Amino acid sequence: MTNGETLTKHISSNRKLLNLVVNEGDILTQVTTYKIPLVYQAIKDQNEFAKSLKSKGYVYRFFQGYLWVFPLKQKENVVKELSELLKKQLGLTNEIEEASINLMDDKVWYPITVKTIKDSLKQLAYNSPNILFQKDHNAIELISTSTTIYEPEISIRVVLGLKINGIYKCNSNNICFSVKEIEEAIQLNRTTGSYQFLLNRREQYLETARKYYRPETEKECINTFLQSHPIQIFISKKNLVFRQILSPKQVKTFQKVKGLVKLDEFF
Amino acid sequence: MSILDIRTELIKEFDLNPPDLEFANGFKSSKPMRGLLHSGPYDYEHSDKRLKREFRKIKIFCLYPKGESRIKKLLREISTLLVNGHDRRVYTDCDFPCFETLFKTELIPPDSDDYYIYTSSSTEPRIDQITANLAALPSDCKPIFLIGGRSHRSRKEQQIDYIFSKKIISRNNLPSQFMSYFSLGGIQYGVLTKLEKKENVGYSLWNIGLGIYGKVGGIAWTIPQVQTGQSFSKGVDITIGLGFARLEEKDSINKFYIGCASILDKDGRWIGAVHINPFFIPAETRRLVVPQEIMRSIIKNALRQARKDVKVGVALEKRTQISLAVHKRGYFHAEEVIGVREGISDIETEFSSNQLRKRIFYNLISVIKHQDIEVIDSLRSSKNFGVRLNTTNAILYTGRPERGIPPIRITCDDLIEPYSYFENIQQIGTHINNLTLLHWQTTIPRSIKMPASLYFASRIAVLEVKGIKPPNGSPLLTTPWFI
Repeated sequence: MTNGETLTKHISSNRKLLNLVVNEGDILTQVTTYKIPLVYQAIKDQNEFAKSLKSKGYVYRFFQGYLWVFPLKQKENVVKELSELLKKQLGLTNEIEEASINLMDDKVWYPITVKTIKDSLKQLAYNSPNILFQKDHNAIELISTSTTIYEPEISIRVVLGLKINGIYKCNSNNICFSVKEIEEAIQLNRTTGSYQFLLNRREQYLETARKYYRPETEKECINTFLQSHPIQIFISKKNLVFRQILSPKQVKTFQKVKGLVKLDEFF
Repeated sequence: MSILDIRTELIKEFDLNPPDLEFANGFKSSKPMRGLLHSGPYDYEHSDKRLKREFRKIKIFCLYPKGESRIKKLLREISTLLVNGHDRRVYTDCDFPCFETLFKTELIPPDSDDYYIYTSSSTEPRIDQITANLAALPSDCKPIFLIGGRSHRSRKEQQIDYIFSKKIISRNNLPSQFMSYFSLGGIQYGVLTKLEKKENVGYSLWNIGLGIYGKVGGIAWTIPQVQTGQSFSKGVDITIGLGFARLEEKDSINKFYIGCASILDKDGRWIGAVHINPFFIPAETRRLVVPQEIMRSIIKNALRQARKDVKVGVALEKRTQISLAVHKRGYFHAEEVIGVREGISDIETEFSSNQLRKRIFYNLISVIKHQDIEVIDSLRSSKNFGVRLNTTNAILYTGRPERGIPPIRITCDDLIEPYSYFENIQQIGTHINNLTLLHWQTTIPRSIKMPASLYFASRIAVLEVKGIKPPNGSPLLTTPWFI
C-alpha cells in the first residue's frame, strides 16, 4: 500500500484516533517482587549499590519502608544475588522476601508502577543497539537509529523517534502510553562506532529534513516506529508489548477479550 | 488524587457545538466582530433594567513614563484612532470602525491636561489632581486610563512599568488599559511599537476597545443557555472558578499561596470575586492543597456574594433548587472536597427558611491545562470537539485544533452522586466549552482554551501576588478590571 492510499483511507474513515499505545502483552496484576526492609536515607550516599542493581538488570523503588526490586531479565536465584549485593555493597544481611504485588492498585500506581515502567524503558533503550534514549522534562524519548528520514552526510542522519509523554491505566488492569512522533538529528561517533545526538546545526538539519520527508499522518509515523522497534519490556516474568496506536477496531476487540490480544486479530 | 483509567470501550467523540454569542437586541453570532458591528454590546439598551449599563460616555486619561515623550505622542495617536476609527492599509490588517459605532458609547479623547507622568519609583503621579479632574465628570461618564509603558506583561523580567503603573491606578479605584511600547529581536510586541513602525494595528484596536468596555463595567456579549444539536448545554446558576498563585517568600521553607474565587452567573455574566487571604502549606506537601477550613469559607463567601447580585439574588430567593459548578485547575484533593461539601451544606441551611428548604446540586470539575492525551492529526479538525476517555474524564478541544492548540482535560468524580447536577461528562464538556468564549480578552473567536471562570481567577491571583489589587469595597471589584 502506498502512502497516498493510506492517507485517502485515513481521511475517508473520518475516525478520530487518540495518541495512545496499549499494552498487548501480559497484565501487571500479579507481579513478583523482592521486598527488602530498607529506606532511602540508609543508602543515599551509597551510589555503588544502586549502580550494581542497575547493571545486573534490576529496577527498584523505595516505598513504605521497603526497597521493591523487579528483575528486568529472566533470572534464577534472585534472592541469592540480591543478598550477596546487599552484603558486599552495604554490609547488610536484611531478609529478602519474595512477594506478589498488584501493580495496577491505586496505592502503588504512582510510587511504584509508573516509575518502574519509566526505568524499564530507559533500560530497554540502553540495551537496544538501535535505540537512543533522551529525557525531555517528564517525557521519555526513544530514537531509532535505523529509521532514516534524511541523510545529509555520511555520518549524519535525521531519524524517527517516539516521545512517551504519559503512562496511564487502561481498562482497569492494563497500561497504555500517550505518545508523539518526533524527529531527531544524530551523528556517528567514529571512535565508539555508536550514534549520538547532534547538537550543532541540529535545527538546520531538521528543517531541511522536513522539506524532503513528508509523513502522511502522525499515525503512520508512530506505527512505522513501533513496527520496526516494538517496545517490549520484561518486568518480573511479565512481558509487556506495545506495537501500534490504539485503533477503533482495537477498541472493540478489547471489549471482547478483556486481556491478552494477539496482533493478528487487528489486521 | 484521581488516577486516570482509560476505558477503551467508552472512548467516543462528541461535538461541543459552541453556542452563538448574544449581543444587543438579542442578536446572535459566533463572531464577536460581527455581533458588535451589527448590533452593539449586550447591555446596550437592555430591556432588563438590572442589566442595562449605567454609563453613556467614557473619558480617556493617559499615563506615561517620565522622559518618554514618544509614548505620550503614541498614546495621543491611539486615542485618536479609537475615537475616529482606522482604515486598513494591507489585506492582513482589518478596519476598526470608531469606538462609538461598535460599543454605542461616546469615547471622549484626552485633553492636553489629561496626561499624567509616572516614574518607576515610589513617587506617585499627582493623584490629588487626577481625583479633582475625575470629580468634574458627569455621572454617566466613566473614566479609563490608557497606560503606556516600556514593558510587556508576557515577559516576567520586563514588567516594571506594567506592575508599577497598574499598582498606582488600581489602588485608586480606577480602571486602566495597559499598552506596551516594547520590541524584542526586531519583533514588535507592543501595540505602541506597532503604531510607531506603521504596522498593522486593526486587530489590536478591536481588542483594546473590548478591554476598555469591559473594564468600565460593560458586558460586550454573553452566552445564552441553549439546546444545540445533540449536546445539551445545561445552564449552571452559579459557577465558581478557583485560582491560586504562589507568593515568592524566598526565606521561608513553607509555601505561601494567595487565591481568588471568580463568580459567574447562568449567562456567564461576571458577578465578582472572593479574595482568599494568604495561606501556607508545609514544605513537605508537594502540591497545592487548600486547607479544608479555607475551602469551606471560600465557598460560603462566594455564594453569599452571588446572593447579593441584583439578578442572581432574586433567582436564588425564589427557587428551591440551585445548581453550582466549582472549577479548579488540577485535581481536587480529598481535604478540598470535604471543605466544599461543608461550605455548601452551611449555605443550604443559611439560605433556607422555615417555609422554603434550599437544595444545591453541584459538581466539582477539575480542568487540566497541560496534558498529553491528544487526537492524532487534530490539525484536520476545524471545529470544537471532545473525546470521552471514561465516564468521568474527557479531553476537550476548546481552542482551535486547526491552529495546533492542544486540548484540555476535564475530570469530574461526583457524577454518580445524588447531589450531582450534570448527568454525564459530555454535558460538562459543553459547559466548560461555553465558558471559554467569555473571556472578553480578544475579538478573535476560540483563541483562549481555558474557561473564563479559571482564567479570571488565576489572573486576579497572579496580579495580587504582584501587589496589583483594588482596595476592599472598591467599585472596581464589581467589574472585570483585570482582563
